[in-house]
Amino acid sequence: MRAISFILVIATLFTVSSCTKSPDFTQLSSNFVVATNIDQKVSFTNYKTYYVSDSIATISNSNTDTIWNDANSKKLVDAVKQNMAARGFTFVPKGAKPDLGLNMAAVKVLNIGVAYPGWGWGYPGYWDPWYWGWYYPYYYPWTITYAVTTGSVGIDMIDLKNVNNSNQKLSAVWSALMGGALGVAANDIDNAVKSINQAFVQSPTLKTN
Amino acid sequence: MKKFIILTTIICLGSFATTYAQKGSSFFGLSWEVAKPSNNPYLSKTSWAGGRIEYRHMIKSTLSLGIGMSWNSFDEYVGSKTYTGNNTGSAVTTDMVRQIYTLPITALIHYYPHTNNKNIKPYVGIGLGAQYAEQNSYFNIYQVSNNTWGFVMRPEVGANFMIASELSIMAGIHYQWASNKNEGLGMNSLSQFGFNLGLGWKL
Repeated sequence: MRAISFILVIATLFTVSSCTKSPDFTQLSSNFVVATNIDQKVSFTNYKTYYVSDSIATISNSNTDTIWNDANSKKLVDAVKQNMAARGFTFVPKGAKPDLGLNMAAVKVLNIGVAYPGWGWGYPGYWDPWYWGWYYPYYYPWTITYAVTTGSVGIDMIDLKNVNNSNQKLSAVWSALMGGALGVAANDIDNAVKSINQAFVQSPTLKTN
Repeated sequence: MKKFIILTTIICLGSFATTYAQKGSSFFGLSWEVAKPSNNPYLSKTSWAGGRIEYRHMIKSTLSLGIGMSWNSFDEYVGSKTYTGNNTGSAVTTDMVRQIYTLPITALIHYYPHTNNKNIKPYVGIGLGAQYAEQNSYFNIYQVSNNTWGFVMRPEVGANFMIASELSIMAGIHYQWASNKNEGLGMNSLSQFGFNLGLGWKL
């Protein structure tokens, strides 16, 4: 009897030690995460003009996608131009020797995976299967397949006014990276535009006046 | 007849309580645990998803030694905010779900003061040991995790209420402090107040 009691205690110990409650993710928004980095030693009042291409460099699951240039990419480029204008910068053609050059890049990747949550994780109430929006019902032996398309947009602001000719290096004085899960294309573009606006909002010293 | 039944029940419960806490006896406890973080800059929401198991062996009728383990899962949603680094020029804007999972494992010592009511066994005690803790941040589809081990101490008071010869209801309150740190989240320790309610079985 004592041996059985002891075994029961040890079995319970191992069982409950794996019981982490999965948090409630229903309140998490689908807005992109927006990260920026600014060179704090730079005074942006020294720059007046900039150039940004109408095309966006692209990386995706397709090996033929390298340049993105359509009505949707124009919305993103226009968002950058509007924010730069609001901060006092003037757009000039590439040949007019702009003070700043902006590079934009986008990544779109389809991620497919299989998860083996284990018997403790698979019980209802311990993991919310609706979080991703699409899933395969789990069946013995408790495997879950998921497919998520993720996207990100990056902007680098290069100092073209103070080029270091001795080591031929260009300095990035500001960069922004925003991304997250993708869903309906129209919502994704709106999300990207909102996140570009936010990137400028959280960089208050990025202005020429 | 009614008086006979009442008298017999009282005598039996009295003798059950005596047997429960006799020197050499042991019991196993399983409780539901509720805890609220104290002085925590990362999250402050109460966890209702916790539990506790413990084993106590009476080395004297008023003293027991044992081992216990608890688990608690705290989570809290924080709306969109901009987080900036200290003079680094970096900033991140996002909403997030914050989570802390704690698993303290402690050696226990409890003292049972004498009472006139043999069906209630109050106790005061302390647990000392190690705590495993996870801190997770979920934002959009991303997750940042950190796992740490630390030293934990857990003073508590409570009582066992006998409901059968080998069965009791356990109820207690505790304060728990652990040295688990996460400097990135501004946490130098993990502490909580809580209570647990459950059953104890004589082994």
